[in-house]
Amino acid sequence: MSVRRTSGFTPWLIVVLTALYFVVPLVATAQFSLAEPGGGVSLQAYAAVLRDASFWHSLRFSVLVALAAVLIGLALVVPAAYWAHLRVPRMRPWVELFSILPFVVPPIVLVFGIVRLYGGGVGPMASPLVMLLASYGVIALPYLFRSVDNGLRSMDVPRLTEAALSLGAGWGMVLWRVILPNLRGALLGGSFLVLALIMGEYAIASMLGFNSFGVYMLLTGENAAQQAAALAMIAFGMVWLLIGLLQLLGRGDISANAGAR
Amino acid sequence: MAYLECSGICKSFGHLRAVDGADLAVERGEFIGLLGPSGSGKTTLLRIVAGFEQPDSGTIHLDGRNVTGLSPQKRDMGMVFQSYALFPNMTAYQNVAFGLQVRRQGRSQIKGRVDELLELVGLADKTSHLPHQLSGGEQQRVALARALAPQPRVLLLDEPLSALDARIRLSLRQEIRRIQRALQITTLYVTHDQEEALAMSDRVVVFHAGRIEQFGRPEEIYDRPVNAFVAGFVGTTNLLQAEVLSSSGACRLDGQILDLPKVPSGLRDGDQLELRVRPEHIRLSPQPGSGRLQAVVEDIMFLGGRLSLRASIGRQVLWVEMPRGPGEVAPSPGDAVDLYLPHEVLVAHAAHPDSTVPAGSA
Repeated sequence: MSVRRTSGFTPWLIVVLTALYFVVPLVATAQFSLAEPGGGVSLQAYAAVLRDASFWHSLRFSVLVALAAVLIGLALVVPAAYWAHLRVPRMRPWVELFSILPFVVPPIVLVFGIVRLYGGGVGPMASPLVMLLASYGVIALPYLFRSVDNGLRSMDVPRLTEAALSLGAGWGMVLWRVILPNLRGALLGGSFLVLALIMGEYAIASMLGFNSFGVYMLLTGENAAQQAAALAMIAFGMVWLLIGLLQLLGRGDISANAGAR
Repeated sequence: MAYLECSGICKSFGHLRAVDGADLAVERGEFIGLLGPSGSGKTTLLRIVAGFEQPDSGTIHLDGRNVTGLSPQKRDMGMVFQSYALFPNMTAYQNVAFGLQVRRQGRSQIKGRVDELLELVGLADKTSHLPHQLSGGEQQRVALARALAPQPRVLLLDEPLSALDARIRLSLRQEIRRIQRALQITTLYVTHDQEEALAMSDRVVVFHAGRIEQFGRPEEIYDRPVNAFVAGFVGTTNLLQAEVLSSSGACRLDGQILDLPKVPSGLRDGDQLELRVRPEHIRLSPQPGSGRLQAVVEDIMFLGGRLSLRASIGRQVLWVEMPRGPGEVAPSPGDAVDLYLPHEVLVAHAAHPDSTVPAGSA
């Protein structure tokens, strides 16, 4: 009986407290970004941000770099995870362990290591852009592997592959027509997560001397507090946009229906 | 040379000899049941034929051509899996069309063939359903149509009915056989269900511990099992221990004398002997002549049209199965009965000290 009564009130309390914890700073930031020095409301801080050429510059740079990092990460993770599921299921825990290593290594250590190792050298790895993409590719690994692994687990990878092979399909066709379509939701989820993460990344980009979106946000915060608040709201809006897109694109996804079988 | 010929196939996984020297010759259009308990190597052999596994040694010939090293894509064999393995992102139509699209056939040609096959398996009205919108039986029909669409030279089925419930299993097994007959397609069918194998197959291969124990028509397998394993695995068999009294055929079975037409060669007086007899071959009614044993009824089970009776002869137990007419009165536990074991159904052989087949095992 007492369990019943608690369950009516406590969860609500937790929900309300959690909501306050997240909403209050957000509302305060929004309010601050809209406030006028003499009192009243204005969009001046937003206008200033949107007029700033380096805002657009850093945003475009970060979007392109994040997309490239996602592609690099997927090119590494999808074939590796697929192969692990198909041929060496016993090795899967090791692949997983390997893929979460970037969690353990802080970005600052990662970038120092890369600079120390390749910085003085010649060839493609010595280019800061390549170093940046390589670092981001590594950061993306755990997120992409997790979601791809989950997606693969929701289907019978060996049987589906064998069915396609016995029908005459080549390996490219198996991946393209059978495996990837059923991974759509998983791929989208992991990719958007990585996009959002890299959009706000600061340590690696600033160490390598890039004016990325993360770096721009920090610099703005040091110079113009109100514009920084506006920027935070804009970034927040972009994340929501990404999540909305994810919901839209992920709809009708097969792995979401797998339970209905 | 037969149409599909496996010679000397061996395959080990680590220390396990999954297939141990399998020879199999299948004629064109035959339906072959691969029967055995789980882990006996039947599925591994099927997967080797399909090209999913490479044998350690041995060859596979299809229509006179060596296909042992050929990848599964190039073997022209249709495969049906226990788990259906339909592509979940494609409709029934798209699933069946897949193998034809891979072969770059024309759109109208594909449509004709897919419609024909979905009609054949009775799913013409469900072409646009996704797999998860179909029942298990319907999914397996789509899988069958998908495997047949590119007109494969051999159809391979790996326990296709095991995941379905009994009623659907029965109707689908008749349907698979009907389609196989109509298309005259050479078929290998893996199952651990002996009734399924006997009912469907032209010939049955019985597997045990990676080896082929017997290969023959269902009637042969049932009536003349070559060893104790086949006898115990296919149908039910009683196993009785006896002692040879004289080479003329008399032997002693728990104090009673039973006359055999002849004693297996090599056995002398006093040697141990094993007798095998099917439960349905034992008669209860007293018959004149030899082959009679006295027994006590231990238990009796009413199975509708049949009666199943457990009887003891001394310390040995045997099962008897018999038809039951309406109103017929059955013996009750404790009754003494005369069992009649006709000569022609008794199989006698030297006793193995490590005989693994208990009397009455299914």
